[in-house]
Amino acid sequence: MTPQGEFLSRLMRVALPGFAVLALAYLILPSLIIVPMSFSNQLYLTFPPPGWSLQWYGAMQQDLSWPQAAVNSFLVGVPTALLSVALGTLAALAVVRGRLRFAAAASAFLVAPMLLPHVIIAIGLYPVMLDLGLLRGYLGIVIGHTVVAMPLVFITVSAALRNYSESLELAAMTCGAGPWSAFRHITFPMIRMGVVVGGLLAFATSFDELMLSLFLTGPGTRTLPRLIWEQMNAYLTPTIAAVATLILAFSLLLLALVALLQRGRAAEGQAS
Amino acid sequence: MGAVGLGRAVQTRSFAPGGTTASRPWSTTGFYAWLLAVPTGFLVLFFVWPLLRVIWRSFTDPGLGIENYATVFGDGPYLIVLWNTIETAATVTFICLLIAYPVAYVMARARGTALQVMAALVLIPLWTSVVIRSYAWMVVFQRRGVLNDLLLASGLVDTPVRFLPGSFGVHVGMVHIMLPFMILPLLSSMRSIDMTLLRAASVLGASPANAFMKVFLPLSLPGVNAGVALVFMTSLGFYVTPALLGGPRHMTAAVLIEQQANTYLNWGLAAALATTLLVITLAIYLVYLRLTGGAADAALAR
Amino acid sequence: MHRIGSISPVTRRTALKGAAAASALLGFPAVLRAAPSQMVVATGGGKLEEAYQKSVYAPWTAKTGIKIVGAPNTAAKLKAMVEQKAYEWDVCQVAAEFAAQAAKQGLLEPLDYSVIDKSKLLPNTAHEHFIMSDVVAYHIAWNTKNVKPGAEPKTWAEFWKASGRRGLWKRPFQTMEVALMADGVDKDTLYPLDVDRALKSLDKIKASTLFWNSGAQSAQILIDGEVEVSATWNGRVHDPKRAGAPVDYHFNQALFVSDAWAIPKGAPNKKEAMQLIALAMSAQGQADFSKLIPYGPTNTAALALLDAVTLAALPSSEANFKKGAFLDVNYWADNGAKVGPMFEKWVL
Repeated sequence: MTPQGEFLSRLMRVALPGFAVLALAYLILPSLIIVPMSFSNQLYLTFPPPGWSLQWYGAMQQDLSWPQAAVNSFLVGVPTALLSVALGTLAALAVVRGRLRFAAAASAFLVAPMLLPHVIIAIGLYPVMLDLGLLRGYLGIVIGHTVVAMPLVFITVSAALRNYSESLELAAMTCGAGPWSAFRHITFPMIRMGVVVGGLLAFATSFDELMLSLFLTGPGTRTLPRLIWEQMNAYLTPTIAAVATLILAFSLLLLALVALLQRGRAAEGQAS
Repeated sequence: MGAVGLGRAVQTRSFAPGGTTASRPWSTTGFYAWLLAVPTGFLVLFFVWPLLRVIWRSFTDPGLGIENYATVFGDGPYLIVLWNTIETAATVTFICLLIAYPVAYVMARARGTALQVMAALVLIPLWTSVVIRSYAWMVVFQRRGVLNDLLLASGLVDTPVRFLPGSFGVHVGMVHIMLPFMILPLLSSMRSIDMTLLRAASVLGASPANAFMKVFLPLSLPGVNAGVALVFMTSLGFYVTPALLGGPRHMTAAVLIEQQANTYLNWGLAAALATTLLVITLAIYLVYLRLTGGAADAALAR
Repeated sequence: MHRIGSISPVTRRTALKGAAAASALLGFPAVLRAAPSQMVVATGGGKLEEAYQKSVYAPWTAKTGIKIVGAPNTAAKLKAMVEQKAYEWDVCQVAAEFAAQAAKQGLLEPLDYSVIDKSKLLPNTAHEHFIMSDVVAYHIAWNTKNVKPGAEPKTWAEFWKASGRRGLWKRPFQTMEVALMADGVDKDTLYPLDVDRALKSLDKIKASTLFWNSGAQSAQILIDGEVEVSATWNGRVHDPKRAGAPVDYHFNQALFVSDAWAIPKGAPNKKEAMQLIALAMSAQGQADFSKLIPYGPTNTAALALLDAVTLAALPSSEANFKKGAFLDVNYWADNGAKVGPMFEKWVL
């Protein structure tokens, strides 16, 4: 290596990780600001807070709409995850294993809802849901969220399916297993991680989704993002920071869960 | 004999030569086509049908004709907003790529705890609500916010800088939200690059810079394509961050459509704007599919 | 057959026939329709809803036994529910200029003024399809730390010339009116709006103006010192000022705007909806509401029920009402579609 090359490569070895550290700090910074703000003793948003108080967590508990919204977010998120997993897995199986002629077009179609602006889907779905009478309960919003979350499951399960050869399933079938047996005993254990991660991603998508929720939820079914958005237009107090801190803590839990699951899978030594 | 579970077949090791078949023969392709029908039917009913209704409404509300499109493409804020949206999305995508590429490169070579910590720092924001992250940036950028406090304390400025509402704030906020979506596809793609190829290149006499340009960079392109497509298309539809950090001067298409639908009750115009945005997004998607050879999910998964 | 306690067969038969005829006359469904057990009222939420809960909904439920459920008054839902005849709301309260637009699009029921008493209301508040329920002032406010006493803007013209940054609502309604007043137009001769003149007036301050999104934000930027002066709605700064925040305001040259009650066209429970609106518009209902939120009543009979301290803060008290002028909702209903985009384009 030339002296210039030597210098350049040493520079890169220092500058690159340094840059990466800065970029990652940029990513984590806002989340870190929210937490101390939620303990402020002032009425309006200020950082750093001049004094400490737990009053916003108290206010959050007293205002019944917050726990209700949190419950709603779960009542919407869990069915969304389940429905997305069911549909996404079916789609992934069909496209990856099926050797269909139109597989590329099908996968482009199945991924599209995730990529299009939610506002378009929202103003399209609202009259449809109104027609079908699905807006009074949770079904309307669950369907709406599934439309945009299912592509995520499709992607993760497809990736898992592609990771191993289908000859294992074919072997099972030549030995006499029917399609359902082959799926249960061969395919599913292999893709289980992809399914679970896809389901968690679908849940996270639903949990954080605002636009569809604005249109498809009613007064009793309001989710957390919608309530936060409405409160921000009405109040702007650190109560929102308190809610945000709790949501952050919850997200960290979910993330830790995924990490544990993946480490467990690595420990089991499944082929990857 | 009926269908036999593979487990039992393996344990008993019994298979009759001459073909133990399932109780009923079934065609692979037909079966899988049926499997696909369920999610496709779901999407047709709840994705395609609503979109068709939006397009229909753009031509029929308030009356049959193209008057809504005449409004969109005529004198007024609409084209400006659409163009600003595309411009902002392109800028954000470009900045994300510039930042994400080195970060993904470092992460791809990292191992063990370093990798886990870095992965956490990328994933935690991803799993935090967009509304909340945008709100946090408001706190950073406000007149008596963190950034101004730092600038004043360090003597770089005399009076607080006005970041909000503003283009700088919008871009910083949007890049922040979109960065993980660029890092992750790049990371997947980079991790699957065989490092021995780079070593082979240097053995054959290539400088590190050359090896990078001629070997690593081209191999990382699928990730680049996937990341760019994902970030660009998502940025086109952005609502929360520009609404909070940008104010009316930096209106994006999603904010405009929601405003026409909700505040002015002009559903026909909202539908026309939405259809225009849809066409733009689809056009970019088709270009992306062309570039990646059609396996959209494969590229996005890697 | 005669049994103790039974009416004669002839009388019973005629009674049944009479009942059948009566129900046919009244309309079979009407006979079967019972009063609802609950009603949905859509409002702006937050403190407004809390105030209505105490001043209107609780007395309503006590009187009729019908529970009230609140809902956010998302405009798009009104249009969709009327179009598809799938009603989520029984009554809604929206900004009056929006109600005028909605009425023009045929989305609202004509109000029954034999049930709703409009005799004591301020002029021009009882419209065919909606009724204005409060008087809110869009007025000058300032940050008392950054603006020295004596230097606060007394008129919109002075507001325009104030140093530092100023805040205005990002929508054309109200903002264009104050731009004209800043340019010298008298508050009583604003309409029809000279749009070009308003935009030219706004041009003078465009670079130093923060166009805020929501009422909460307008208060926030004043209190934080993000702007020196701002237009805002009096409900937003009344409480903070009382709590000691560094903000002050006056009603000189204020523009008065309103929220309005309305009923979606074709909504069920129309009868109960009219009665609820009548209760909300009664002197007592209006007075109780104004005690909780400093928006003035449109029912002048309510003013007599309020004490002097409360009255001083209300835009529709006699002293304050003559300082400002009402926004002309009909102007915006007729011209909003044209003027709105001109303003939006100017802002970009």
